[in-house]
Amino acid sequence: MQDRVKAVFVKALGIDESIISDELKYNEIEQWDSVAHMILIGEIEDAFDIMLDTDDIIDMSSFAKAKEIISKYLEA
Amino acid sequence: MFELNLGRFKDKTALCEGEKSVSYEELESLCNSFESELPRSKQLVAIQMQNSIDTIVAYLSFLRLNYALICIDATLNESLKDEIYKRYKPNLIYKNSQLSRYSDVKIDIYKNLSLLLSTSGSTGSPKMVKLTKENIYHNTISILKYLPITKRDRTITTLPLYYSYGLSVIHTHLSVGATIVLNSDSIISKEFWESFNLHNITNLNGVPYHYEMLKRIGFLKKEYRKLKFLTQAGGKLNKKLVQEFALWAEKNGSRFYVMYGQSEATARIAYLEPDKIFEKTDSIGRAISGGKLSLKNTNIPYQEDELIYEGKNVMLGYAKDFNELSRGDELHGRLDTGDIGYVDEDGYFYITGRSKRFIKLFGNRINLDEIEQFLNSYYKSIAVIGVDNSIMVVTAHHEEGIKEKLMERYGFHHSALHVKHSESIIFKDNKKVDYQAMIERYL
Repeated sequence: MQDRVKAVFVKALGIDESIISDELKYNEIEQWDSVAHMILIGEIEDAFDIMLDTDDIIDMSSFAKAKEIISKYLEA
Repeated sequence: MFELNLGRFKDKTALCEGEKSVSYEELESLCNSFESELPRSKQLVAIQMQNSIDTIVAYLSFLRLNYALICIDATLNESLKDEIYKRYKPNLIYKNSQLSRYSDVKIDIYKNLSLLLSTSGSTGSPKMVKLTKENIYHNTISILKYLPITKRDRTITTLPLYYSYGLSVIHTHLSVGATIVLNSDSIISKEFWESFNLHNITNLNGVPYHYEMLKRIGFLKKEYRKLKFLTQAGGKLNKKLVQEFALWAEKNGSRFYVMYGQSEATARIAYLEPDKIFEKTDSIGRAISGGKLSLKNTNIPYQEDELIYEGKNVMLGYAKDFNELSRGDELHGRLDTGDIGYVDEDGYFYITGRSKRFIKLFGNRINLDEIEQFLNSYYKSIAVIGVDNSIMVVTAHHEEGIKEKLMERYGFHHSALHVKHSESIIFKDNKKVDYQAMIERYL
């Protein structure tokens, strides 16, 4: 799953795969700003066929957190 | 007006920023001490606007001293800021809570010129709207006649303060002694919602992009009982969303105001009364008190033409550099809005298009001609077309690095940029580029 999430990040944020790590955080790189965040949310929902809740959209503040939230939906 | 006698609201909280808060009395004395060090003669000052107490103190003080202020996006790329400084040669620059001298060139400034706002702040356009204090006062009073803002209200900043709508929120709330929570976080951040709940926000303002995000994060499924009203301006919100937010407001004992304006008219031109929102969903409403909307060459209902606005909030004119700051009023209270629309038989106005080359990109106003001029300094045979949230560069040759240049200079999101290589640029018979035809063919 890690690779699928990575692929979504690469596409949505327009960044190189090599800079993605668990520590990658919202607002810490200029490519992941609030505009990019909404695009990222849309791409995640499409790729995994899920609908994220308000709190999860707001909480998804790092790559590690994104993986954690997505797995929660996939297990449900 | 709002910048004077702040102490009359005594210990009421004026501003909050993080843990800090400042009462109206304290705000008055902060302005007094800030002013005491400054020259009395009229200065041109460039102020990098942040949503902070310091910025508000500096802004109010400069207005009190009757300076002319150039409001700049503090997050703008440095080279774009420099271009503005070079063109306008401000005496002073205020940035990060520090004031420094920039230029000693003596500039001739029209005595009533107070505020310069960029026609496209987020891309650092050096073309500025020139406003007077009179403009600001009249517009603030007109807004307060329809928005039910009281001294018990609390708002939170969702908009930047180099933007006319962002500033109008500050002006109206300070006028009545309300509380402003200065926030810089996005409305999809945890920090924003923590502040929102902590301060029991009563008034929320946003451009269409904010409402799209609110809908996206499930705002409409929740209850916010403290929220007294919401305002929307800065472009046309999709009809379905207008209805959804209006319904939400009705259910929650709140009110949803759809409004229309331009920086050229200080901020506000028209608004739709919330009780007409289901009947006139697509409308921008009617002119604000003291203003008049009409169509350029027709008064027949449903006939399309350019919207004309008249009122005391209409700017003096535009400026492109310091040479144009000495000129007085050129428009005499009449503004050709550049927006195309019509009026219905009840006197409600509707906008159907734009005659100027502006689009909105995730809530920011973008001038396509400026983008094209910038690219023209690197490439030959290039044209820029766009619709909201999408910019397309058409090049006759196969050019490299176009997207990268635009992302670096303007910070655009890559998904909004499209390049069509080796395509022909379409011209009209008079040899002018036919943008409309290209939009139809390529977008």
